[in-house]
Amino acid sequence: MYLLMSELLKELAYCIERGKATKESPYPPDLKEKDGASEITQQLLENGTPPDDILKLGLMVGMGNIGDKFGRGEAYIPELLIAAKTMNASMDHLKPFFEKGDIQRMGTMILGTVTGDLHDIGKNLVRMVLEGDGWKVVDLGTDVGADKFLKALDENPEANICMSALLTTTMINMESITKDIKSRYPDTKVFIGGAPVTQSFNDSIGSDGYFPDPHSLTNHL
Amino acid sequence: MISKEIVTRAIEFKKPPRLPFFLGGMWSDKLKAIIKNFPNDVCDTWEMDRQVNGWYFDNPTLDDWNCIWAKTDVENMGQVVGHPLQDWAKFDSYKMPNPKNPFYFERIEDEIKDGDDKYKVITTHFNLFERLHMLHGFTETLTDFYMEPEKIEKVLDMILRYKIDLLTEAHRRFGDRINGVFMTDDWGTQNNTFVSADIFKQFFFDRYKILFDTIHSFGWHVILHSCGRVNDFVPFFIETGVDVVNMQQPQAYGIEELGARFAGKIAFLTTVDIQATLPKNNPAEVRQEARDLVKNWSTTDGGLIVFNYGDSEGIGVTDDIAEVMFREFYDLRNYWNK
Repeated sequence: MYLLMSELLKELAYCIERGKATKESPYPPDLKEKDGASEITQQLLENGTPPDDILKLGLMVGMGNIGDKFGRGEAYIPELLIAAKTMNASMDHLKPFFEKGDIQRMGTMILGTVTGDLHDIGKNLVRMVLEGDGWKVVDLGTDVGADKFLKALDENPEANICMSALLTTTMINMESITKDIKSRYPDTKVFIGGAPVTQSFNDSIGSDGYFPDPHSLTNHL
Repeated sequence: MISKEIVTRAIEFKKPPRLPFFLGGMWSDKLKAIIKNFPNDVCDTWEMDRQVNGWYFDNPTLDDWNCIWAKTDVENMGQVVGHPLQDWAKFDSYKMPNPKNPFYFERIEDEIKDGDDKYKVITTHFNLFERLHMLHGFTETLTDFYMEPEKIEKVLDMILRYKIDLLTEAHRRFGDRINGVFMTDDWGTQNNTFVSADIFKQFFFDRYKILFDTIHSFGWHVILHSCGRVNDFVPFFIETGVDVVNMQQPQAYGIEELGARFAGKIAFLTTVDIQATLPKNNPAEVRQEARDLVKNWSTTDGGLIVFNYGDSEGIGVTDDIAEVMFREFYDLRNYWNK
């Protein structure tokens, strides 16, 4: 039984990594008509596998594998997006367990693209990967100023913040937003990312970490 | 030697007498005054991109493809936030704009009628990939390369047909009074291309070749802009027929690395890095990068054209630092002809 569960968890991780969401999914072509992440998750639950194991030994392993490939330049954004969507197919079965408290969330992360910036692909990728890692994510969307971040923190005081910017002209808003957050919530961590953002910029504005991709953020967390 | 000849020689590696300058797109009075001190060898018109509802840069609303634009208070070109083909069910009833609409051509004559000694460029923004994800949505497009490839191909064929018909009509009207076509397709993130080489080859290689062969059949050059670290796609650009690649983030590519791989094989239309260097407004760094670009990206036969990004405010660059850059490139204009 243990071996069966162990093999199924490996298969689940493989499905996540490859982007095989359900048996019906035509992608990837070499896994046609094989069980996908959704079916395998259901089997694992029926076999009595703790939901927390499914998350940590299935979903997080699979997302970790594709994240590592992305970091090495062996996978690209589409593969990451498809893996994240596949993970969601599995998460649909696990949501009730999160709600009941059978699976503990890693924590809460508030996300937003900063004031003046409408770009969201980077933020959306981070959201997907964080959710796959078991985080509760409060996604504030784009063009988000300090007031919205602070309001979300008022509602989720234990949360940390991730800010994204794509433009050099909007990246500069991260400094004032970080200051405003720290002045009211000094213990809240503020993480930043986005195309023009750098480590030295992070150091200069007092934020708590610069991460060039979602996987480096989750590794840090 | 007239400007048109200088630019053509730089593109075709036929030993131009100096570096050519493509300084169009000036948006401040101060920069316009600065530019007068430097050669400006190119006449560039964007009028073919004018939309019936007005310029999407100024008037974020529906464009002629029914894409919905939005802007914030921060000065930049804005972004598409509404996608008419996000839902595939809408494809069969979708109507693309008419590429022969006289509206797109009626202002070009005024733009190109003077300055016959200049190299004349018409710009058509948003080439195949960009228009595709404007129509379908960026996330949806990236995943549907794998999930719905046939539908993606249909949209790409529609866009390709539009571009060919648009440029064919431009050629019918203006013929050899135009010398080159400037188009845009941003392919890169900070560290890599958005998609794999296999995806590019499957969906874009042949279509690019068809489009660029058409442009060449008019006697025009192909100038392709692409942002991001697109190093691994430059060989495809070369193979499909791009004559000039406009890449504006030299620090992301590696100046020496890119030059070692491609100098002499494709012409570069470049500026000092618009993301990593220019916004820092450090004159010494700007001058050094200009020198590195000329040394590594140009050759004794040509291959480098100096570019002005144009939207200084949009990238947080002062006009003063733009002048520093132009001055350095100008001082290097005879780098290979000492």
